[in-house]
This record gives sequence, C-alpha cells and structure tokens, in this order.
Amino acid sequence: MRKLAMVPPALMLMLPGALGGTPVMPGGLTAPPLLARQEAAGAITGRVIDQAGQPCAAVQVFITGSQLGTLSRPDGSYLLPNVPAGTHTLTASRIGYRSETREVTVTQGTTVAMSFQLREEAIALDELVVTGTPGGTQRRALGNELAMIQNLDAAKPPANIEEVLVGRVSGVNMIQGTGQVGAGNRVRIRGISSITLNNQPLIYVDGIRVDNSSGGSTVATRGPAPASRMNDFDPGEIDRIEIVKGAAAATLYGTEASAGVIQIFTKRGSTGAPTFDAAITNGVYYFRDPAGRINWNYQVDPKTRELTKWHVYTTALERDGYTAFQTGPKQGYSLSVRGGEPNLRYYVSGNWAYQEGYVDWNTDQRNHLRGNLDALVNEKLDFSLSLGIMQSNTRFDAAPNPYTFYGSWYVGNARRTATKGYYTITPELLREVENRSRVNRSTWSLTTNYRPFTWLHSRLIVGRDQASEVADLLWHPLAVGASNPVIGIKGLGEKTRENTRSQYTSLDYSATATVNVTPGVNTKTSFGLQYYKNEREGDKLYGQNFALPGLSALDAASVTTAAGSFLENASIGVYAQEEVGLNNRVFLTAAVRGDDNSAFGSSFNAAIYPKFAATWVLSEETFWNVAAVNTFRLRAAWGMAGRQPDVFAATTLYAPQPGPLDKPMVRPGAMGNPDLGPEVSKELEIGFDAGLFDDRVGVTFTHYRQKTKDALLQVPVSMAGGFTSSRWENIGEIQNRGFEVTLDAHVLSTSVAQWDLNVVVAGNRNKVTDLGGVPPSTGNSRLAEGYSVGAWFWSEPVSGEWTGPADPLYGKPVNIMCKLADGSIKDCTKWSRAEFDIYQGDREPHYQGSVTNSLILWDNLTLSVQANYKLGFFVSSCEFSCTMGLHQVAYAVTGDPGKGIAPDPIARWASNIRGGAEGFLGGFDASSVRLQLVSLNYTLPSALAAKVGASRASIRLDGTNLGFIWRATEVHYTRKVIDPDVTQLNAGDYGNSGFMGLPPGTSLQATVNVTF
Amino acid sequence: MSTFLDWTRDRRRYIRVVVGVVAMATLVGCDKLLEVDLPGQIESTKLEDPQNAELVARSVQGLFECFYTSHTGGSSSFVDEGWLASQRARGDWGVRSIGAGGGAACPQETWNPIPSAYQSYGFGARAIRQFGQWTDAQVPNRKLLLSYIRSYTAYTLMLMAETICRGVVLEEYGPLVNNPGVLKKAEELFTAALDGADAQARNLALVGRARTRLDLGDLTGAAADAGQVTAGFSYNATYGSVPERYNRVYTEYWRDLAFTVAPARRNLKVNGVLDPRTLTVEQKKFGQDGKNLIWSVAKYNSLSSPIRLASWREAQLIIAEARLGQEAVARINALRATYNLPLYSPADVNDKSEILAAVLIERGREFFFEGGNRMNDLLRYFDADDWQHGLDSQGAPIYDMYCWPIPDREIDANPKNLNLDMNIERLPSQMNHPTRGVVPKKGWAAN
Repeated sequence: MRKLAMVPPALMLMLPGALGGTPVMPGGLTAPPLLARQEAAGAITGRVIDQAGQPCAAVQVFITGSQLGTLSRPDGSYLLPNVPAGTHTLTASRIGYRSETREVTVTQGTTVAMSFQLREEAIALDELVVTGTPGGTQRRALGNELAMIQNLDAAKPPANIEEVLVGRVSGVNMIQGTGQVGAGNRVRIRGISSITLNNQPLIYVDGIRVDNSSGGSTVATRGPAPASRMNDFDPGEIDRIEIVKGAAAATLYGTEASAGVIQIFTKRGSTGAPTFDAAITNGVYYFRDPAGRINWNYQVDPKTRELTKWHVYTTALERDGYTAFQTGPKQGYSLSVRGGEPNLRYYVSGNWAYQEGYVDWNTDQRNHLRGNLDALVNEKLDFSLSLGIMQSNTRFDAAPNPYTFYGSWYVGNARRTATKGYYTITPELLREVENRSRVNRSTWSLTTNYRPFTWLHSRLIVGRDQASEVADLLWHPLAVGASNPVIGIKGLGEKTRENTRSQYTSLDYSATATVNVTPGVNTKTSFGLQYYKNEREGDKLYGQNFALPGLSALDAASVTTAAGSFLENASIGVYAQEEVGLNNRVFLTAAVRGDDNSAFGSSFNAAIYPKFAATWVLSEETFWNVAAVNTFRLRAAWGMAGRQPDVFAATTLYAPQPGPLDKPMVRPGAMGNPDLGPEVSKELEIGFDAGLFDDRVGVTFTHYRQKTKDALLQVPVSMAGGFTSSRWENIGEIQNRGFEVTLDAHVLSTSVAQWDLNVVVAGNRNKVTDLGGVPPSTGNSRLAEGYSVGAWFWSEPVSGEWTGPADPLYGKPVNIMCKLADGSIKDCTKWSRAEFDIYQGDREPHYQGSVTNSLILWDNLTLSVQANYKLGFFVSSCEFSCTMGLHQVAYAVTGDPGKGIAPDPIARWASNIRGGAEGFLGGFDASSVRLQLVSLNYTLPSALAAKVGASRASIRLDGTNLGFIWRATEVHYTRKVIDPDVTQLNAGDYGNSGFMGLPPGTSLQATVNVTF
Repeated sequence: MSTFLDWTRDRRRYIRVVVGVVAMATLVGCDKLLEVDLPGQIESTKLEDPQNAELVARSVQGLFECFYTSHTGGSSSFVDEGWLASQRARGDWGVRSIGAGGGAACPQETWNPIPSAYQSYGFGARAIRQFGQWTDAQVPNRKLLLSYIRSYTAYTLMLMAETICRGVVLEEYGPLVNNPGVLKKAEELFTAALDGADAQARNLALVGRARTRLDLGDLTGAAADAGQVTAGFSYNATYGSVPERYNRVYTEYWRDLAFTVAPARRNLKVNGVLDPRTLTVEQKKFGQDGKNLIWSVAKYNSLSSPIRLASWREAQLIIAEARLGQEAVARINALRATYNLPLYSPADVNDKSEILAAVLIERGREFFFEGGNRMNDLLRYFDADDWQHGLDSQGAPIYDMYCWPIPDREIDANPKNLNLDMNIERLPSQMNHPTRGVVPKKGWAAN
C-alpha cells in the first residue's frame, strides 16, 4: 500500500459495510479519540477541496509520525485540536486522490489555518468497489473494468439518473426516444446481447434489486415514451453509481445479469453536527427554433395544380396568433441533512420537482423522501438502513395513434380543414385527452455486517422494492350523446385504467474470509447466497360512453370491461469465489455461481456460471522503470452470466376465458419447453489502466469479446396439437466485440486556471452468428446470420427519370436504377425486393462517447462543455416514409408544378409503387455529434456565503441538448432531419422504425446550492 | 487482516457458519423458494383431472364456435357473398384472398380461420384422448360429452377439408393428410359420436356424417344418414356479448362496418317473392372505406346471434343432392313451403344437370352466410366462371386463389413433411373432389 501505511492506526478502521457511505475507507464514520493530552498545544484548522473547488469530505488529515489526526466534514472543513507546539508535517489523504503534505508550525494557544486542494489520482487503485464482488474489494484486485460515477451534483445538473449516464460511461448507450418530460430512455450496455429478451441492465439500489423495466404501463399507447423505473430515483440523493458491463464482470449476479449491472448507492450520514444542503432550481424546457427546424408540408391542388403548404408552428402562429408550443417551466427544491455520532449516523433528504414539456399538456411532478441510518453496535456488528419513498404524477403527450401531436408535424396539411390542418386532432382536443401515470414507490434495504473474527466478514442484505402505478387514458366526454366530428365516438368519453403493482424482494448473504497465508500472499475466500423474487400484478379496466361532460369515473360509463394479469418469478443462486493476492500487486480470482429459476424448464438443471480473472499492478514492481507512466495495471477477466427466459415460458399453459352458456372454458395458450434454460453469455475482457505524466493523464482501455449462446428464439410449433403460437428454444447465437477507452487529462494547471479534458470512446460490433435453423426475417429490419440484430436492408436507388403520359405534367417515374450488393446497377422498377434490398447499416452505433472540456478559473468558476457523439448507425422513421408515402406531403413527392419543378422521380416512384413503405424513404445515416451540455458553476467566496449563515454557496447555469455540431444526414429527400435519435422504444428492441415521438427539447436552468 | 494462525484457530467455527447457512437453505428447500403462482393461467396437467371433464368439453365447444364464426365470415367473403368495405381486411377475409402467415388463433385472431381450425382440432383431439382415459365412474355423462366432443372435432376436420387446398396435418409434426383422408377421419369421428349420443347429439352427428359423405362422393351413405335426422332438428353454434364470444359476422358486417353483403346476394327473390333466407338490412351508412354502403346479414343482428351448424333442412337438401330427380324437387318444395315461397317446378325433372343446379341454388339461399357451404359448393362443382375476377370493391385486383393455404407456420415447424413450395398453387384440383358424372347447369351460382 502507498500512503495508507502512514495513517494513524486509529483511522485505519475500515468502514463497516461496504455499501454504506462513500467508497473511500473511513467514510466519516468515526473520529476516535485522537489526543494524547499535551501541556503546550495549539490547533490546526482548514478546508479540503478538490481540483474543481468542491469540498472533499472524509479526508484523513493527520500529523505524520504521530497519533494525531481527524477526518474532514462534508463541507470539507477540519479541525485538529491539541496539537503540540512546534513544526509538524501535516498530510491530507483520501483514497482516489493524491496525498498532499504541508509543513506547519503551531504555537501554544493559537489556531493555524492550513487548507488543501487534492487532485484526483489518474487511476484510483485503492478505491473500494462493491459491484460484481462478494462484498467489496479494492479496485486493484478487480480483473474487469468497473465504471464509477461520483459527485453527481458537481459533474452536471441531472434531471434524472439516465441523464447522468448519457455519454459519460464508455459502452453505455442511452437510446433517447422522446422529448416528453417524465418519459424515459432505453439503456444498453455493450450492444445487443439478446435477440428476444430485454437488454436492459439489472439495477440495484443499496444492495437490493429493483424494478428495471423500461415500459411502464401498457394502458396507453405513449408512442416512444416509456416510463423508466430507474428514473424514479432522485439523482440528488445518490452518492455514486457503479456499473459493470458484461458477463465477465457480472458473473456473481448470475441469471439475468448478462446485460450488465448498474448499482446505485445513496448518500449516507457523517459524524458531526448536522449539515444542511439546500438547492433551488429554476429553468425552462423548450423546442429550439420550431419555425426553422420543423418541415413544411406541401400539397398540390388536384384541380389548379397550385402548391399549398402548411406548418405546425408557423401556420398556427400566423392564423391563430398562438401555437401549441410553449416554453415549459421547470422548478425543483431539495433539502437534505446529514450528521450523527460515531456510532449512529443519519442522512435525510427530500425534494419536490415540477416541469412542463414544450406542449403544455405534458407535465411531470415528483417528490422524493429518503432516510438512511447507519448504526455501529460494536466492532463486530453494524447495520445500515436505507429507505426511499417516491411519488410522481406524469401526464404524457401521447394519445394513441393516430391522435398524436407529433403526427401533425409531418403529416398535417391544409386540406385537413376539420382539424385546422393538424393530423386527426387539434391541440385543443388533445388537451382533453389525459394520458396520466401516477406512481407510488418505496424501496428499503437493511444491510447487516457481522465480523465474528478478524478474518471473517459476513454481510446480509434484505430489502424490498414496491411500486404501484395507476395509469389512465381518459378521453373526456365532450358532448351529450353525440360523437365528435373529429374524434368520433371517443367524444362520448372513454377511459382505460391500468393499476399495476410490482414487488421485488431480495435477500443477499455473503461471507468472506481474509487470510494472510504468508507475508506476501493473502487469500479471500467468499461464499454467497442470493434469493430474489418479483411479482407483478395488473388490473385493466375500461369504460366508454359517459352520460354527460364532466363524468370520468368508470362507474359512470355505460359500457365497462375488466381484465387482469399476474406474473411471478423467483431465483436462487449460490456462489463461491477465491481471490489470491500476491504482494498486493498480483491478484488471481476464480468464482463459480449456480442458479435455479422458476422460469427454467423442469428438465433443465441449475445454470452454472464460472469466472476467472487476473490483474497485475506492474508499476509497483521493482523492475518498472517507465518514468512517464507512474501507474500501470493489466487486467483480464473471463466469465459467464445469463438471462432468464420469459416467466412461465417453460410451462405449457391454457388460458381461461368466457365460454358457452356464460361458463368458463380454456383455450391453448403457450406451448412450453421443459428443456428451457437461460441465455448464457460468455465474455472475455482484457485491458489496462494507466496513470501518465505524474497522474496528469489517466487512461483506461478495455477490449471485450462476448458471445451469447443458447439465445432464445421463438420456434414455430406444429399446429396439429392445437397450439398456434411459437415455442421458446435455446438455439441462437450472437456476438459482440468492442473496445472502450476513457481518457482524463489535466491539460493545464496553473494557480489561476485548470483545463481538464475527458474523452470517452466506445466501439461495438454486433453480429448474429447462428439462428438455429429459424428462417431469417425479411423486411427492412432483419434478423439474419452474419448481420447485426435488426440490421437495415433496403434498396438503394441512384438515379431516376420522368417520362410517359401517366402524369399530366411530368409523365411517370421510370428508369429507377438501383445499386445491387455486388455494385452493379439495375432497373429496380422490374424488381423483387429480395433482389434489390441490400445491407445498409446497423441499428446500434459503431462508435459512441463524449468529449468534455472543463475550465476552472480561480478555483471557484468552472465552465464545462460536453459533446456527445454516436457514429455509424442508421434509423428508419415514419417522419420520412409517411410524408413521402401514404400522405405525400414532402416536397420531394409534390414538386412545384406552378414553377415547373418536378418531384423527385425516385421518391415519387417508391411512394406510388410501395405506398412509401420502402425503407430508403424512411431510413438514413443517423450519425451525429450533439452539444449535450454547457455548464457554468460559480462558488461564492466563503465570506459572502457566511453572510447568509452558509458555509458554502454556489450558483450554476446549465444548458442541455443545445444543438448539433455535426450530422451525417441533415436533409433526407427534401425533409430536414429534426433529431436523428428519435426512435421507437416501446415495442421491442429491434424491428421497428421511429414513429410519432416528440423529439428531445432543450433545457436551460439555474441552480443555487447552499450548505449550512 | 488476520494471520494464517488466526485462520487455523477459527476455521472450525467458520466451517460451522457456512455449513449452517447451507443447511438452512437446504431445509427451506430450493423448490419451495422457487414456487410461484400463476392465477391467470392453467397448467396442462390440470386438464387431466376428471373433475375438469366438463370444462374440457365446454372448451371444445367454445373453441369450435369461435372457429366456426371466423370460418363462416371468411368463407363468405372469400366467395361472392361478402364485399370488403375497408382496406385492412383484404389479406385475410378478402375476395379470393386469405393469409397463410397468421399464427394467432381464437380469440386474438378474429379474421383468419385457419389457425383457429387447427386450434379447435388439436384441442378436440386431445380431449378425445383424455376422455378415453377416464371412466364413466369418474365423469358423469362421459359418453354423451364425448359424443359432442367427437362431433365438434369432426366438424372442424370436415370444414378444413372443404376449404384447405392440399390437406391437413393431423398429428404434430406428422405428414400432410389429403382432403379425402381428412374427410375419412371426420367420418370416423362422426360414427364414433353416435355411441352414447342422445337424440340431439345423434342428429348432430348424422347431419355431419351426411355432409362428410356427400363431400366424399358417398351419395348413398349421405342420403341414408340424412334420412335418419329427426324432422325439425336444428343445432346452432352459440355466441355471447363478451369479445371472446362475439359473432364475428355481426361485428364485421354490422357493428364495425368493415364488410357489406355483396350486391348480387342481397335480398334475393324467388319468382319475385322476397326470399326470407337471404334477408339483408340496409344500414344507410358508408363502410370504413368511405365508399361502399353497408348491407348487413339480417339474421346476425347482435353480438350473440347464433349461427346454424346442422339441421333437418340441411339433411333434406343433402338427400335432394344425392338422389336428384323428383325426390329432389319434393324436398326443395317441402322447404320452400315452410317459407311461403313459390314452389319449384322443373322443366324436366329427369334433367339431372338442371335439378342439381336447382339444389345448389337452394343451398345458396338456405345456407346464406352459414358454415362455408357456399364455398364448398363452388369448389365441389368448380367452374372458374362462377368465381369473381377483375377488381374487388376497393378497386384492387382480385387474387388468383380458389382454396385456402396450409399455414406458413406449419410449414416452418414441420419442414420434414412439408415442402416449402406447398402453397404456390391454390387450385381446386388439389382438393381431390370426387366426380359424380353430373355437372350442374351453368350459371347456377348467379342465382
């Protein structure tokens, strides 16, 4: 060990419970009696901050060679009393930071001021990490990469947890689908590793598993606006997030972990007087430049051949003097307090937040309450309790298709007089459609750490995550007994309500024996048992035709129906791990986990997942002689993890339903497969961590090769048995290969200014290697061997002409020449799609990441600029195929007959012949570089903060999603690409095109943070 | 961190802790921990309990009835009784068009009857095996219930054989059985259904067997069966007001305005007198396509309107078709008399061609939108001129299809026994209809 050896023994008490508090060792748990009473003494006081000027808590400040020391408080301040008079060497040290040493002279009866500014180590080898280990270990012993996000508040102003992850962690793709406030995204780590099952990573909060669904209620067609259960947690109450990315790292989580694991640790209490943190946020959310960015829709009058046009923003503004767009307000208030005694610490926080979308009927209000308690009973026993409560009330924009507002953006047109040009419904009527979700959620966990012997640490975590959602889709009745001319019988009133209750119960026991076999060899032998159960119950109620406007309760409807569902899944797993450390530099790990799951078939025995890992801190070897590289660690890991089949997919089931004479009957439901097992992913990852140029540059590099065998595919069964559905079988194979690089550089460091650069690069290539005999799919988005999951195929016309008598002005489109796979050109008017559809690209980006520049001036002013990029992927969107196909409102298919401008023959041909369904009309290269964040943070001078009684105060201005720096496709067949990330998230992982989702808006906000 | 000596000293306690935890887990039992509830579904084994025999029998009936309404609507639209009034159904209930790709069956799939037919047959076959394993002591009325199960299953097979081009797969992953083979299987089941049948079940089985034998060309056997049917007998498939039990002809032709009765089949007349068997109701509304006015089938005027499955009237027309001549005229007129319609008087009672045409015309009226009979007649006495050609009611070209395909799903699941090119031809010649030496007088289908 390095600096830690210098720490007074009293401070070496490790934090009981790796889950509690910060990942650094002491975590502020205790400052034991430090003082050997002195006759002539003074004191030293000061403050510890990091390079960004943020306070550093839990820093050990001690006098070298003595027993005198203390820990800094959450505001960074420390006080070292009773210091003997004389000159001392004072050291400030915290894991993850480079230690700083100062000479200080203390005289009797005086207090000397001495502050520190710590710089992060490029590679924090002694950092304690928990996720993917049997109870926590130092990062240096970990054979796989583990990403950690700390200081969420300081890094950026997250609106939700998903926003924290956007672009910040290599290999984590956030598929942003909508600009609606309150809606979520889809998270994908290291590409698509399952064809048919959920690719969402597992989510743990304070050691227990929580709902990771991304779909929410099915009651309303929300367009691409899935609820995200991960966003139910308040970023303000989070201390850090650990992410392990693949099977090699997630082996100990077993079945369901092959898509990775995200573990959230909430903030804990600290020793000392209460410290209050308050924050007030105000801001706006809006759609940038709607007049300039949204496309005009065109029509040619069939009689006069005159071109008319319509615009969802400009036309409405000119005609009505107002539009459906607004600058949505955003506000949030939070307050937290932490403190406690060495044996009992607390953290309590609460917040209230409200924001509106850029259409005023999209709103999101949520509040959180959290109480965390840590109790140290004695040296052997401690408890950590976490309790979080959350409520939200979100109103989504989306009424079911076709009653969407976004539909008006691209297929509204002047001929739709009944709706003033809007597509199927006016904004006024849309406000009468309430698509609302109300969620109540509570998550609690209790962690017990028990150390019966010095060499044995056992940990038990129990907890439960419960959520209930009431989702309504209510069409308010508009008139008495008459259907509405625009929305038909829905004008009589219609309500669908879905009540969903979910419960996740976790039990996690682990025991680790740590033994020094010889002075240079130590072992950690671990055993663990995990049990997990989830239940999901739903009631779906429907009513229509209300007697009078104003009625909305289901019992006031003339016709009502009800349906229900219940799903349950249980999993039990045991594991054992052996870690051998040699001289604290070389670590070898072997582990195995066995799982059984209620979803496995009766003929399937337990799933076994082995793991091997090795790591070597070369830079601490005596032979290391590379001056420029002060830290260097090699690591490699190979492991397996699984993903369980759908609940009850192994069981042959019959579904009850009403039958003759109003008595019950059954029908064949699902054909089960008793041999069904989990999908098993094997992964090898190798890489290195390096600190260069005296920790001015930190680099981590990882290369991974992942293969999912036994991938679940639906195989058609012979219908003669009465089952007409498919059956799940473990027959497919997919692979992902890629690399991840993170670079942190202190480019410039002077007394006035610091310039930090963070670059995240991730590359991934996905391929289906075996479909197990299942025929490849057809269509534009395909499942075919040799291509990525959902790879895009469409024809590629290169030229076309107008001729012939069919059109009075231009003739008809002919000689549409298409490029074939072999590069030859053929006339695709004489086509079969099988011949002309060729591979275009993949759904997932080949490269993605971010570049963040931070400029810190005078230690209290920080300017950060973050650009995110996604390169090498395609999307297909109805915004283009629909405007050129069914609705034909794109200029490419109308032209301007009055000016003698012919339509694009290619677009017109595809529109006429294929009804616009041909892929190339909707699909394009979606690569882009986005200006994701510009942030300016100013920390007020302490004296100024003290005037309001605060120990610290800061003001921050943030702008999010400010525009594009570059896009591969700005215009596609005369239509501007508003946002290439708009995609469909609510209907599965592949096979779908973008459809009617509001694009992401822009956020500007100001936040005041005060610490008392 | 401890020393090796510490470890040695404490290891026994450590081992006790680990063993204790493992023992606890074992005591609780993994299986117990992994037990989960499924209150919304029924596991297959529960249907093996004789206490659930009535549930199984009722399910056979319910699945058949769901298939039957889909088959009735689909076959009527496939031939000349129905017209599309919406775009969406063209691929399934379109004129001479039905999808081969549909996998969902009742009640999710309301259009394509083919998967529902397999569902009905497969469940029925399982029920027959299950009832065979139970005893009379275990199941009250076992034989009677089994009689109905056999009849429903046989009806499904018969209807499949009458419409699907090449045949049916009768065993999971088994070979394709051609249409006569399927009809033979249906005949066997109808015969078995007579065992333990009461009067109603017997009549149901007899009408079914008569129709099957007629399809097989066994005219003598068909007439003999039909002759045993009790006068006035009629048996319906039943429907209800919940979505799983809807009469789909009502929902599509009346409530949802998706189809209309074709102009040539509306309110037909006999010598100027309105034929009550083909009553249609003018809705005075456009269909979903906004261009075809809706005329609905009068006898299906509610969600729960029954659809006739077997009757003495059908038996009379089976006898008429089998025997032709004066007996056919008498049977036709006996039926017409009950409707107060003018009687039929042939130009030449010995002109088999004319009499056969008259019987088929009568069947067209009697079985108006009922059980696929008209499609069966058009296929049994195939003449391409009797089928629609050109453009459909949506202005789209009518497909070149005369009978129904083997589902793609079965072909995908069963590649050993089924060739991928199975569905290229969809011609009546594939159905192996027996020839009886008499061709109906041309033009019968237009009446």
